Amino acid sequence: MHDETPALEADVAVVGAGPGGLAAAVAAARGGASVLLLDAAPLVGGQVWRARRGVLADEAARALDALGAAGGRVLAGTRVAFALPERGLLVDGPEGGRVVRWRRLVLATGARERLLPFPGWTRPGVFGAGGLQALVKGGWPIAGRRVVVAGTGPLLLAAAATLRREGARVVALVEEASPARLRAFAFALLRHPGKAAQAVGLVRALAGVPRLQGARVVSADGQGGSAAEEGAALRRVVVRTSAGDLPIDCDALAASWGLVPQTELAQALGCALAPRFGAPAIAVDARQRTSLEGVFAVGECTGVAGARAAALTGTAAGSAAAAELRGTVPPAAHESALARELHFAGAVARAFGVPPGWRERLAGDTLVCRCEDVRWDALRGEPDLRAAKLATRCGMGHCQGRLCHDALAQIIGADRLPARPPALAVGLGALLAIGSARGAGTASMPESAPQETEE
Amino acid sequence: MSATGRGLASGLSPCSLPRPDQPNTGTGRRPVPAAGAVVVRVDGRAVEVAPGTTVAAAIELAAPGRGARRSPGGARRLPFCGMGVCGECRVTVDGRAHRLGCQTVCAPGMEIATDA
Repeated sequence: MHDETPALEADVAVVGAGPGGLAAAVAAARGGASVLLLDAAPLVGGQVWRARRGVLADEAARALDALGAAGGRVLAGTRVAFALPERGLLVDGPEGGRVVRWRRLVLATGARERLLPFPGWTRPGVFGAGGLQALVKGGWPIAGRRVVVAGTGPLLLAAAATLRREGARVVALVEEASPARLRAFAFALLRHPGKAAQAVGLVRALAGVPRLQGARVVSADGQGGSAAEEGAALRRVVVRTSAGDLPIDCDALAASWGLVPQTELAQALGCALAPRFGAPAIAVDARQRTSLEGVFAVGECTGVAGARAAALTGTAAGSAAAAELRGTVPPAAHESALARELHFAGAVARAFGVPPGWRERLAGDTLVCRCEDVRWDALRGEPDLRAAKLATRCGMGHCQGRLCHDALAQIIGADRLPARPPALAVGLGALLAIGSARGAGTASMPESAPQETEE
Repeated sequence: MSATGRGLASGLSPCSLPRPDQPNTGTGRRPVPAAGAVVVRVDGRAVEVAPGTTVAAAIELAAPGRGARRSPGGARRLPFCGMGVCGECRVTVDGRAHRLGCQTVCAPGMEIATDA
């Protein structure tokens, strides 16, 4: 069925349809470029402007209308499987694999939650904080359920507010940052009235929810406590506070420790990374250009700084990409507006960093790799992740090392990890499209081949 | 080119043309307005869900707590990350294996087969 499928051609291909990618696509299309916007989700908006029960967020709908008016095209439900040589991407969508050819590429791959292991974290009923928020927006039943929201970062407030609005009983909001750090953050917030107003709104939406600060979940237990079998549903969490351990009965735990830039595609292409706001991010210059010619990056994959920064950098990159193709000088970026957003991002990173010493939280039987059921006691003797992979298959399952890489970066230190594997699990049909698409060239195969094929 | 954002990709490729029977057609928005319930089958059992419900949520509505798959060691798992990273929600949809339930919107008549 893939024979003679022509490659899709675009002046500017944009990967990721969140605030940054949508802004980049609109700006490039308005600049006269033919634009193709790709997103893995079936509906555009990304994580922040996520559709609720199939209805787009207003901001996403407006951007999509603007993109349509400017002649841009969208391929949703479509994941990038591989970077191909000669400015190509292999994508896998509702109808199988296609090759995309681009002249300029904008990476807007966003961020994911930092989801870290602790005793009981694989139990049914334990979710990422934004993860449960996203599931609920997709119709996951939450009304009447008792939910503990835990970890660190402003996302916890937003997730808790959404869950409560959807009828959940948020029985505790457990923030690891100490009251002193939170006070310092509140002080920094004074310089950002818009953000302060948002924060006040969220706090108001959470009125009456018990809030613990400088506290953390130490285990997620099933019937019979922490020793309950691994697949037993969550019944309670144990929260460690300065006053001792506090058991809290609940039906769900929504936990995460901030966000990490998603850099896998950039790495597969060969773009340089640099640390930003406490995590490796795609390195960019003032025009959002990466180290690779013709490739731009915008938004959270260049450092977690929120939706407004993503939109600003997206507009800058989309305009610059179109201007390059026209042979004109790109318009100036909104530097002062962006500087404000980045200042705020720095304050967030300082207040809500991941606490050190994560390995102290693990028990020997805590699963570090949930794809392959690899326990911490099987990993802790390995000198580095490569050895761990060979010995245990850690990082070789469906997530292709994304979750356990983020976890091991906290547990054993990022300096002991190799570059993340670039592959996503992808259907065999998509791989076949490489050979059958005209002018596709040869794929650069990643170090670890996809584990799953379907056809 | 439509200014409403529908039919954005007309002439682009078959996978980007809106089809009324298939919400996940790649245009980034649902081509049909949300109206009425959608009936899908989870492991052969019919379940009625609201428009826009994901396959992951439909499974939970059909069989609370059962999930889409088990771990290699046989333990029950539920969806976890909600955004297509962890793979705990993967299922067979209309005969296609390893679809991500959290990234797939229910369409009328969809056949969902879990591994749980």
